[in-house]
Amino acid sequence: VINSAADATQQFSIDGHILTIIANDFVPIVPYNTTVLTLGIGQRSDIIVTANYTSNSTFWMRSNITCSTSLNPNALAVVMYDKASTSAVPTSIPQAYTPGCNNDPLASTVPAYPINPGTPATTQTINITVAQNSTGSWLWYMNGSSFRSDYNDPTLLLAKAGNTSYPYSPQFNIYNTGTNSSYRFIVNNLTPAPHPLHFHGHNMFVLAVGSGTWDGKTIVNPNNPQRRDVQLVPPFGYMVWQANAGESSYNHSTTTTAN
Amino acid sequence: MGLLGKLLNVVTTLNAALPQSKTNGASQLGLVSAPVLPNFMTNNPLPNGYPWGSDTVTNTNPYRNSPNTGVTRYYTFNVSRGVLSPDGYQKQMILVNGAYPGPTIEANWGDTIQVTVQNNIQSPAEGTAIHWHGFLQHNSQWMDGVPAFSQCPIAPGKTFTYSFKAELYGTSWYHAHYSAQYSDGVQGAMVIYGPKNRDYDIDLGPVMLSDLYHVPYLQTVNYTVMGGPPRPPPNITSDNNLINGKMDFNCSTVAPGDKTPCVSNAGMSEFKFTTGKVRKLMS
Repeated sequence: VINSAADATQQFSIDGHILTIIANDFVPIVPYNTTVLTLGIGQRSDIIVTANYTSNSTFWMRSNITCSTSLNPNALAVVMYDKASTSAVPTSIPQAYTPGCNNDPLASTVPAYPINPGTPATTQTINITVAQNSTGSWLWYMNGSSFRSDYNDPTLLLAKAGNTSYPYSPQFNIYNTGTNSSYRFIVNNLTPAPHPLHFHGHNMFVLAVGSGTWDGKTIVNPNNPQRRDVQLVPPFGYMVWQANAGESSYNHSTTTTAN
Repeated sequence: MGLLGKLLNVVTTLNAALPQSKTNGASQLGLVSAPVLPNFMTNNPLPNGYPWGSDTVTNTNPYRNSPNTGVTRYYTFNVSRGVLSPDGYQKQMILVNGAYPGPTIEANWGDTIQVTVQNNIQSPAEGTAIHWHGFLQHNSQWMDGVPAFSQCPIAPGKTFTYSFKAELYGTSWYHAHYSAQYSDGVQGAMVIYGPKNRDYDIDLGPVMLSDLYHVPYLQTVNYTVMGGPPRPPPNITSDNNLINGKMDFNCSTVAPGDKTPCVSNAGMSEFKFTTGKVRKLMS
């Protein structure tokens, strides 16, 4: 199941069926069961479902937009068993759930191939804010800087040419991790919107997620934390992630406004 | 939107009022006749019975030791404007090979994926670039498909060939990374077959979840940045929510004076379950 939306966090379920989650993004995990799966933009989960009803059964598959506004937030699809009438409208009852914009708890999502991230060589903090600029446009900011790009001057090409001054600096929003072998970022979301943070070219070690600010020490499953390439940063919350150097890449929030 | 909202969904018919060609073009996703997916592709060497040999979920660190099959999977994407009605409301879209969602890319773990993207977006013309979400792009960072960061946009009328390795396995997607172009249709699933950590009988393929905006994406971007009526920014309101590019819509709810062609009950996605079988959704 893939959330390919532009703005919406999705809560996915199938009436009457348990979802067994076997992978998050490109990371196989120790399977766990749930009835409602929350996916931020760009996130994927591989799901196994057991068809344990009689062969004339029909059910609704649902995906509900939460934390965004929609005139019709509740998508439906039909699950029909092999001998069900193709015109029988399902009468199934939705799974009970709490609308929300957070991923399943990190404690539930344990990678099947364990990796211990260890202690990072360097740590940086990024505060995400949203504000109106002088011309009235609403922009997202990382540490007070909105992102500005130039289609004629790709950052990688400039770097390859040795031009690391970058036009429009600091709005290229480049975070230099130097020659460190690993790095940690503490991301504070100071806005009321959940933020799917995507790190290109990596699976992040997602160390901690929560409301408010990080206590500076709590790490969930420190010997084998969740890895994935997108993580929802809760509204007015934090996300702490870490990665190993060795791949040149970059991150961004996938909201339409914050590419 | 909680339980109450869900119960307010009243569906009276499953009869699709529009054919798949009108809602989704060349895409077969969402039809019960959509092909199920294999355990892996077999038109390639199978050392130890698998394309990736003896590597398993738990014996291989894919970040450092992904297999090398020597196999390349070739795809050609024609990106162009098109008109479809995913939920029955006619929409100006930008499509890959005339399909919404676009064609599913399939490969085995350790394969190389090569996609030739032809930018045929005209009237008006605009650039494009395709991002292959979640791929490590070791030593191929310039193939990541982000205009202004890893490449210049593919100019209208021009072609660019991406080539990158499937170092990880599982489910992902590709999408245009040029402005918010992908919300007008330039998106599709990617399935990289690899070792399993749990058995299942049938792979039903990708299930894509996406909000839908009846207005063109540039209008959505404008609302997002400038604030669209009647809400304060930064906030946009989608018109619908789709599963594999399909959902019904009640055309009587359009704004007064809106003459855009619209057909209610266009049709929802359908999935076939077989009693007693374990199915994988998603990929």
